[in-house]
Order: sequence, then C-alpha cells, then structure tokens
Amino acid sequence: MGSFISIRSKLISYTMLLIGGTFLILLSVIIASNIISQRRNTEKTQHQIRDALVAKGKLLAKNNSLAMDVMAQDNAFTSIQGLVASTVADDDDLVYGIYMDRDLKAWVFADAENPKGIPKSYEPLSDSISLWAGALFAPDYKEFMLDTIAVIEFAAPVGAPDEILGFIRYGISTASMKTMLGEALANARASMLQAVIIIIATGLFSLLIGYLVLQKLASRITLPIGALMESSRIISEGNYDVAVHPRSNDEIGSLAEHFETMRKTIKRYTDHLQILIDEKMQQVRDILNNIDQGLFTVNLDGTVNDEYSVRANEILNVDDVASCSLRTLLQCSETKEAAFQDWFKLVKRQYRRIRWVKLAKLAPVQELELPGADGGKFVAISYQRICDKKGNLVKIMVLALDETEKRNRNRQMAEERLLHEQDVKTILSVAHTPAEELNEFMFDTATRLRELQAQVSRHRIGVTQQRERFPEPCTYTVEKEQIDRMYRDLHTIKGNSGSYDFERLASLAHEAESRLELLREPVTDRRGEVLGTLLDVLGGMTGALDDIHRKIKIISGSEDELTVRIPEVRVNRIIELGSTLMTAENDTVKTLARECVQLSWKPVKSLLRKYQKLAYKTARRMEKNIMVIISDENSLFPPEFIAEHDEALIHLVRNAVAHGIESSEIRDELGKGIGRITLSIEQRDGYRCVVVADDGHGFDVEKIVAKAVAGGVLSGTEAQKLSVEEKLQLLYRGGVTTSENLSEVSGRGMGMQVVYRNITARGGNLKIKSNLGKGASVSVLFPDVVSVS
Amino acid sequence: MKRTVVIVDDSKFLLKQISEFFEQQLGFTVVATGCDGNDAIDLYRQHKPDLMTLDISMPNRSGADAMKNILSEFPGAKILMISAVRGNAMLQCMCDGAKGYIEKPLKLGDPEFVKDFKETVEEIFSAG
Repeated sequence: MGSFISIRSKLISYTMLLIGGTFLILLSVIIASNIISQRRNTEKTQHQIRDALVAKGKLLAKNNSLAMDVMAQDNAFTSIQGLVASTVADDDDLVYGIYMDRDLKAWVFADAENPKGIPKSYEPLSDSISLWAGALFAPDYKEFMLDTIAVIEFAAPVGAPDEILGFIRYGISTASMKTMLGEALANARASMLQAVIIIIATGLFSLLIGYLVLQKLASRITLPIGALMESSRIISEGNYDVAVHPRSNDEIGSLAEHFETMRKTIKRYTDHLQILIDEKMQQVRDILNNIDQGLFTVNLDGTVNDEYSVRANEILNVDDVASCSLRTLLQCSETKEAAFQDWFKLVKRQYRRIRWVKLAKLAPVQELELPGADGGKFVAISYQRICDKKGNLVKIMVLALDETEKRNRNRQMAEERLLHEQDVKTILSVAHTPAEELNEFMFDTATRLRELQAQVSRHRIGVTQQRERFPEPCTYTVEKEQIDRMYRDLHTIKGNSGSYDFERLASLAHEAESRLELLREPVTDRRGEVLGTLLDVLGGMTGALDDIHRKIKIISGSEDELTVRIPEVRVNRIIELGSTLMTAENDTVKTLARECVQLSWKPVKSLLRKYQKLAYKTARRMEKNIMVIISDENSLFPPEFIAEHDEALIHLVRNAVAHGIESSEIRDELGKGIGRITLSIEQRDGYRCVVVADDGHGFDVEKIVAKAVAGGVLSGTEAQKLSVEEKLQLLYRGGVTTSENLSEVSGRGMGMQVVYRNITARGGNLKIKSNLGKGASVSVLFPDVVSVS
Repeated sequence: MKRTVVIVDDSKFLLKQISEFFEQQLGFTVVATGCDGNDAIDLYRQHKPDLMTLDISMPNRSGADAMKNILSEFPGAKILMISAVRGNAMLQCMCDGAKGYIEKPLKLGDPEFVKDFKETVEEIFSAG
C-alpha cells in the first residue's frame, strides 16, 4: 500500500477543490461578461457624446450661418466678430471660431489666445481644413488633430447657396468627451472591481463555510469507517473478542453490521476449533500415556527429545526416557552406536529417495531383549519419520512395543502345534508299522532307557557320597567309556525313534545327548546338577515312550492278539537244535531245520524300513523329491548283521540322499525326474550284502584322485596307475571328501573312512560302483557266518 | 531401449531366478552374469550396465568390496545389493553408496516381496 490518505482528507480536499473551481469559473465568466458589456457601453457612450457634440456643432454652425447671412450682407463685420468671439468665449468646448470669406480670408479668428477674434493676418488661409471648409456648399464637419487635441470642425457656408458670402467655422474639442468617456470607463471599472471583490469574498466565504461544514460532515461519515478499520485491525491480529458496533445508519453501518456477524461467526468457529484442538491434544496426551507402545523421538544427530510416552519408561526399564541417551535406551554396543550414526547419515541423505520402510529396516536395532518382571522381555523397535510442513525430515520417532506376551503366546502355540504334529506323526507311524517291529522297538528302547536311568542314578548317588566325604573340592569323574556307552544307547534311541517319526522321543534323546556331553567337561561342583537334569530328561523320555505305548495299544487293540512273546532263551534253544539238524538227509527235516534257524529272521522290508524312513526324512529336510524302493522285501534275513552295522548304513543312506541325489532343480534340468534310491539285501557266495544304490550324479573319480593327490595321499604318477575301482577306494582310504559344503545332514555322522573302518573291523567290506551322471551304489559286504543255502 | 543389468551371485540357481525376474517382470536385458566379486568388477568395466545386482557374501571377493571398487572407478554406478546378510553389513553397503537393497530369501511367489523388489528398482532409476 502507498502512503495512507484518509477518506476524510480526500472528501474535504475534493469538495474544496470543487467549490474553489466553481467560483473561479464563475469569476472568470463574470469578469469576461463585464469586460464585454463595459466595452459595449463605452462605445455607446462615446457615440452618444460624439452625437451630442456633432448635433451641438451642427446646430451652432447652422444657426451662425443663418444669423451671419444678414450680417454679412450688411457687411456688419463687427457683429460677426462679436458673435463669434462671444460664442467661443462662452463655450469651453470651442477651441476656435473662424469666419472667412469666399477667398478664404479670415475676418474673424477667435480662440483662447485671441478672445476678441481679430485675425492675426488677412492672408487667405491655406491649411487643409480651411481648403476643405472653403469648398463646402452645405454645413458639414470633419475631425482632425490640432496639435495634440482631437478637434471636430463644424463649418457651414454663409449666404444663399448660389451666392456664398463666406464660411463660418467652429472647432470643438473632443477633450470633454474624452473626459466624460474616461469617467464612464472608470465607473464601469469600479463596478467590475466591486463585483470581483464580492465574488472573491463570496468564494472565500463559501470555501470557509464549506470547509467547516465538510469537516463536520466528513467526520460523521469517516468516523464509523475508522472504527470499522480499528475493529478489523484487532480481528486481523487474531483477537475476535472485540465487538464491532454499527455507528451509522448508512452503507457503512450495514457494513459494520455484516462485519460484526462475520466476527461472531469466526469467533464461534475459532472457539470451536480451539475446543477441538484442546480435545485432540488431550486425546494425543491420553494416547501417549495409555498407548501400549513406548514412544520417543530422536533428532538426526541421535539426541533424545523431551517428548515421550509414559509407557516408554516402563518398556525400556528407565526412569525418564528424556534424560537417557539413545545408546542407553536401545542397549547399544559401541559398534551399534557407530552404526546408528551411519544410519542417521544415510537417512538424512536418502530419505527423499528411498522408501522409509526400507530405511527403517536398516536401523541397527530392531528388537531388544531386556530383563523383565518374570524372565526376559522382548521389545520390538520400529522407526517412523517426522517431517515438517515442507516435507523436510526433522526427527525420528522410535516406537518400542513389548511383544513378550505375543511371543510367549506364539511360542506356546508353536509348542502345542508341535505336540499335536508329533502326536499325529506318532499315530501314523504306529499305524503303518508292523506290530512285531514296533514291539521290538519298544522293548529295545525301554531296556536301554532303564539301563541309562539306573546308571545315571548310580552316578548321582556317587556324587552325593563323594561330596559328603570330600566337601571341598568335590571331584567325581564318570569314566569316558561309560559316557561313550550311554551316548551310544542314547544315539540308538534317537536314531530309532527318529526313523519311526517319534519326534518327541528323538528330540528328548538329543537333549539327553547334549547333557551327557557336559559330563565330559572338567569336573565342577555342578556335576550333580547335570546328572539331575539328565535324569529329568530320561524321565521325560520314559513318559514319551509310555505315550507311544498307549497309542500302540489304542491302534493295535491288544498286543497279545498279534504277537506272542517267547523268551529269547527258548528261541535260541530251538535255533540251536534246528541247526544240528541241518546235515540231515530228509528234506522235511532239512526244511524244519531251516525254519528253526530262520525263526528269529525278519523280512527285508522290516529290516530296512528304518533306512527307508530315514531316507525320506533326509530328503524332506533337503527339499529333494525321492522314492525309496526296497527290493525283494519279503526275503528273510537274520537281523543281527544289520543291527551291527546300523551306524554305517545310516551314514550311507544319508550320503546317498544328500550327495548322490541332485537338487530338484538340477534333476529337472537334466530330465532325471524323481530321485530313486534302492535298498536291497543280497545273498552272494559266502557273503551277504546290503546295497544302497541311487540314480544321482555318482562319484567324480577324477575329482577324488585330484583331491587325494592334493591331500598328499599319493603322488600323481601313482594315481595314474590305479584302476577305476582303486580310485574309488581312495574315498575311504585317505582324507578325501568331495562334498563341498557340509550340511546339517551329512556333517553329523562319520566320514566314509570311519564307515570303512567300522565295517572292516567286523570282518566286512565296502564296495563302491559309480557311473558319473547316472548314479552310484555302495555295498556293505558281510561274511555269511551261518550258511543256510 | 531396454535397461541393461548385470547380475552377480555365487548361486547358479539364484542367478537364473534373478535373471528371469529382471527380464520377465522388469523388462531389463540381462547382459551378463557373474559369480564372485572379481567377476563383478570385470563385468562392470566391460558392459557398464544401467544396473548391477550384487550378493554380499561371495567367494574370492565380497560384494561389498567389489561395490567400493566399482564406485571408485564409476561414481555413477547404480548398484542393488541382493543378500541374505542383514544388519550392519547391509547398512554399510548402503552408506558406501549402494542405491538399494533386497533381502534374501527371494520370495518371488510373494506379491508383497515382488512389489517391494519392483519399487526398489523404480526408486533407483527415478532418483536419476
């Protein structure tokens, strides 16, 4: 806005200008008309005076001419002289009077210098006027300048027109006329001046009156505007409490009324808005105080702000979040703290370019484990950005949510789910396993478990006794062999129950194994504790076994219906007796003898089922798709030799699945379809062998050789001399493994060398065949001790 | 013209998966693939692709190291880290100049994951 000029001043100045202008115009019109009329009047007066002068002159000339006619005829020059002289003397206007004869000789020449009229000379007059007068035949007049005076000469011939005797001439000065004219002019001027003065005075008076009146009037008009303006200023400052009063009954008054209505509306609105904001703020405070999330904000330099939710203190185990550092709040190590600084830098640089969700995920702390009321508590940490109106990141809100309950619930649910899953698996497995086999498993496991419990209890008592005898330090050692034996038992239980999908039992056995391992560690005072917990786990295993037993009972009805229990001693006796009949000639006796010997034998499917299951389980874990075929599944074989080489077989089956069979993707690419593993027991001359064959990629003979050479097992030249079979033998003879990445499945068992060592130690042998890209088979050969063919 | 990408991952299977994803879902041309950090540097020099994806843990030379090398030579290189390595290693890669990251496992059957993958690539290019 430019410089402020009030409406009042504008109103006054414009009106003053208007009045002043009007008077000026009026003044100039009056002056102009006055000048014009004055000029006209002057001319008229001039004419009138002149006419009067002319009439007077004419009359004088004519009268004199008539009077002098007689006098001239009588030659009464003295009379003429007297008449002319007295006429000139009597009239101030007459400058001269002349009578001249036809020869233009002046008889009388009267003027101011010569009042008597006696001419100075009698010579004929020769000036132009005299010549003009001397030529007249009738009275006439002519104006001319005599010296500096304008003079009108009136001349008339004297005598009859046909006999002119002379000429009478009178010169009348126009000076009196001029004087009269000047007087008239002065009068006119004076009256005009008067008029002008009156007009100017009136004008000034009007201006003065106008100004005074306008000032009052303008004030009356502009005062409400001023008030309105003041009100609007107050409102524009945000104060809606001052009312606007209409002070006039005109447009401004109505404007003020509207203004007041508007003010009230705005006030109502803003009051309402304030209430709303207050309510919302209260809500926010309530939320902050009641929200289950701990909430606080940090600046981009990592400093913690004052604002935080009360719950944050509780969740983060502090008294006042605002007085803690981010490092304390989020339990940061030095590395984490440095990472936070990096993260803040990254966030500052990239928050406009990278989605917040991605940046938030990179924050160094995503969850916390803090000490809680009962045990630990889990706190999930998330981050939100806080931007200003322009979208600039100003700070980061950190949200801490106590997820302990949720996690516990989830864990509980997972546990329950696992339990149900295990139950279902157990039931399915029980349903699908021949009762005979199950009974064997149950008997074997129960026996081992009892033995284990007895041993552990014994040691525990031993520890207690030791402690009583030697309170400090207590040194109680469990023999390594004993631990090994217990370990083997546990391992067998674990393996067996695993292959029957009795997962609970298997996992408990695994746990017991780990506890058992603790016994190997250097002696400590806690040994008793370890044994105690081991006993607990063993108790759990008994429970799990009982549970399986209950399921078997439910599914199979009564065990007695299916199997008959014959004491081992009696079976052995029959076998023993049968074997003595083997040499008999009689076929029936021979058959009876064979049946007797085979009494304890089992069908292949029952002997190998465990490994079939193991293969499936391994494959599932490795996400491979396989089928396991047991060939000739009904043939009978003595179970002992299988049991003896259980660990070796487990290893071979796992190896076949883990390293023989390729991954599904590769098999798909190669068009090999589902992986096939064939398990079989074969009877050969003097040997029985268990064959684990697969159609995987086989052994890479060259790779084995290369590794053996690299491992220093043999030299390159030696290697060249070897046959393929010998090269394959390198697998279990020297430190060669072709597996490039150890996995959970294959890393646990023994290497091929250990397998080989165990088998040969029991008089067996190992034979490997391989066809690169097509498959491999590993045969475990056992010498057939009792030939029954 | 199609955008070009070089994919580097030590798993052949993942190379195939990522390549297919870039070609079919994102309309890129996969100009080359490599399986370690040294490959990454060579391939970047050779092809100067619009985008390079790097695994972090790889034999011979890590992806993080390869990225630093590439960025020192080509400061404008757009590199997307695709790795199962979380936490600080990923944060460091981002701080060192990676333009985006994707976390393994690649759940390419999960629409949410695919959406995030696409948006991440979009982000890299929209930022110019």
